[in-house]
Amino acid sequence: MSRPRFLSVGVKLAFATITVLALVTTLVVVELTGRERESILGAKTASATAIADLMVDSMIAPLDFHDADAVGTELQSLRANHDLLYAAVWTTGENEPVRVLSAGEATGTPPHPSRPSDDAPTLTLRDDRLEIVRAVMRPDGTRLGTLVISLSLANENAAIVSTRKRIFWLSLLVVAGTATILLSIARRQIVGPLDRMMFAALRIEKGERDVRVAVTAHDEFGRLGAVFNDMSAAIVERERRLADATRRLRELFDHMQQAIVVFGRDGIVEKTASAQASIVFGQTSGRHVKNLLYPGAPSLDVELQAFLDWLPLAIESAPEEWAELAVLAPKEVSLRDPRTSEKRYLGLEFEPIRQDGSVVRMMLLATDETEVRLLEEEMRAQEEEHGKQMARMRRLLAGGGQVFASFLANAEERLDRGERALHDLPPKARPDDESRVLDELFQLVHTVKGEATAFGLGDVAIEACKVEDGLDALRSRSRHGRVGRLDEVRRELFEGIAATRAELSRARELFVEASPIGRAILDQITVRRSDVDRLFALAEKRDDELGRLAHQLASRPFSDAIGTLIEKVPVWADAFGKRAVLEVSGGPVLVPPRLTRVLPGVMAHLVRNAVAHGIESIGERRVMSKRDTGLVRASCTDGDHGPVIVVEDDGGGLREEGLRRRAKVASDVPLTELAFLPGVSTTETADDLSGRGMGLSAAREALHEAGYEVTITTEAGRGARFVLAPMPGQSFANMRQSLRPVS
Amino acid sequence: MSSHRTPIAPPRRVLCIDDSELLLDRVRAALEPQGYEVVTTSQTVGAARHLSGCGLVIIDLHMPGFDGTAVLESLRQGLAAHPNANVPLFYLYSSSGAVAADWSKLGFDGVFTRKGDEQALVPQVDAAFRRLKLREIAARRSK
Repeated sequence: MSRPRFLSVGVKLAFATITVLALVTTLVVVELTGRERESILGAKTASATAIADLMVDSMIAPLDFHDADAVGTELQSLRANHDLLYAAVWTTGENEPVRVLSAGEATGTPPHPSRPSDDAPTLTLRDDRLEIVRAVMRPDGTRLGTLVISLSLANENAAIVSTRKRIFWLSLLVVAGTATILLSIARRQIVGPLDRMMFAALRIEKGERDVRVAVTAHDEFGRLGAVFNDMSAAIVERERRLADATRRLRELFDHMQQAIVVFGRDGIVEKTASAQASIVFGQTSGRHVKNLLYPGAPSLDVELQAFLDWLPLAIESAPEEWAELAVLAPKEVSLRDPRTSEKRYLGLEFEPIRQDGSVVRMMLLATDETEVRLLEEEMRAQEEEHGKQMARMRRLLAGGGQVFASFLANAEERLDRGERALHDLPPKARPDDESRVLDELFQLVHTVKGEATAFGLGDVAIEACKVEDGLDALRSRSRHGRVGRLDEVRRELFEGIAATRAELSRARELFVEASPIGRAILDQITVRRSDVDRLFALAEKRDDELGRLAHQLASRPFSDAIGTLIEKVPVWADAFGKRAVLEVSGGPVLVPPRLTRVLPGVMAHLVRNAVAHGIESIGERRVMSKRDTGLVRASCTDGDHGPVIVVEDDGGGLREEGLRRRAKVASDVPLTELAFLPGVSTTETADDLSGRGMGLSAAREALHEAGYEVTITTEAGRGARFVLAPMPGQSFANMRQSLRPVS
Repeated sequence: MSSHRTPIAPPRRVLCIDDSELLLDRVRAALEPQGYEVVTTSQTVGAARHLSGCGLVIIDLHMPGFDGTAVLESLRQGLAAHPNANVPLFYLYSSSGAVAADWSKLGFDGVFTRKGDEQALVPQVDAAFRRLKLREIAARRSK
């Protein structure tokens, strides 16, 4: 469709004005020239009639007397009239005129006019002349003859033409003046303001701001201009606010480091709302959102499938269904960075944009979580590494901890020796001394490195290797006669040795951590149990050094007696619908040999008893404002006469009434004794977990044989406490001095 | 794993059938911290009794003495006998792209790729459970 050609309103106005004025002018000219002609011809006719009437009067006598000459004389009087073409007189009944006066050949008129057929007096007006016919009559009414006068209208015609021309030009001048005035008014008052407004509107359309038109006139256009200015200002203000809001939103988005893309119902991305989006996804516009999130994924990729299952359901979802679908959207994807091809983790959120309840677009917010994830992975890797090291240490322990312990001791001793040799070497020592020290140091560090490698202690080996490399370089120099370099690197060597020692002690701490008996593992060797038992049986009674040593050898750490109780307590508690944990302290404390034999059974019994009868159910504990999880604590400490073992719980304590009823003994037996009487159980019902009252009495029996006694203290609602201590007169303290692990 | 991950609501039980106890251990170690209940078996005979309550079954295709397709068939037959039973998704666990491409012919609902990379398994299992739930929603809508 072609646009209609632009035609200015000014041109239209001018055209209309000129047309109207031209019509008016034509009418005026025609009217004026018509009147002018009438008035000129009227005057001519009047004068001609007067002349003819005079001539008729003067012709009466000559014609009456038939005096032709007199007729001629009378006619000659007309010669003075310059307009005369001719004049002729006929007598009645004659065809030839009596006399003819002609203006001459110059006028071009016929010299012999014919007699008019009708003698009636007439006045004939032709284009170029005027003809008057008159009858000449005697006063009595007798007709004597006919007079014809013809006058030229050439002068009148010329006058009329001249007048018409003048009128025409005058009118034209008036028209032109009027048109000019009208057009200039139209141009100044209408077309100009309209043009200015049109150009202003065009500038606004092109995006110019603050466009105003000058308002001068106090008329409709002035008002229109004012309205236009207001409108322009309003547009500018609205655009400014919109731009401001968009900018703030974009800043917010950019600040959030979120990639935000908006895609339509067809999944095609419409626009990218944040700068981060192009950093994360690259080009986004026009791409399907699945290609942003799972670029290059095969169709069998389950994450892609789940997304494609989700998308149409989400797009068609009603507002109340959204919550259910939102949790089924993918929460995270990993992508290769388009530029660095590094892996990125993006947390995803989808937000529907609805109109009248139905989803028209979907907004995707992707947050870069790479750093968090990498940190998590690093922590996991570190934990795994620690786990591996612990596993290695456990293997070392299982394969004979003393081998490793002796490596640790030897390695430290070697490092000490090396350090001392380096320290004792004076500055600027003789080349021989220097190379001897270097060789010795190299030998020592090399052995540490080799042994550390054999035990899988990579970190120790690496530090040792650094020292070794430094020493190797020095030695090769000193072999080539260049000495004195040692002083320059002495400090570095000390630092290297210190670093190796630090790694070594880290390994030792790890080893101790993995050991069930703690630090004592460092002072252990493997011997056969049967040998120890035999030795103890032989030397038990001796009160000398040998007896004490046999005692020591046959002693075991308290942790041996605990065994797997720590793991069993929660399981036992669970069987009762309770919760409980066992805390152990004093694991490395050595337990005398005779107690060692019975202690595992006693401990198992006391702990199990505490779980079964001491710790209350969760409900009861809540009533008592206790924590849901009951606590059983087993500890072993060195007492004056030997180790003292305590088993206590934070349960309900011994139930006195039940105990007394079942024990059926005199009421003066103290409560704490009742529990140990044969056949008395601390609870009323027997089951697999708690015994039938045989356990505690049997345990006390066994302890007595080992020289230990057990006492109970209890407080209703607060728990019970079993203390295992050497019987009066028994002392196991004599072994303590030598039993302390060498630190 | 990221802490914001919220496991999908029950059923979250996964049955994994593979001849390698080592792999089963690793699958368990990867999925359990994410809130999944993992049932594993290296026995194909009687695998059906582990099926109840499972939302997802992960099956190895090539196991000595039998193949995953046969296991899948027997499990599906067992389910067919109980019309009211909850039908889980059956996914093939494979590292081989060629085998994986035939998954639908073999009767599986889909494939978990990159076998051996347990970290990559977690998002795939998440996605499978989302599909399970989406399948329910789609069925509900078409009613």
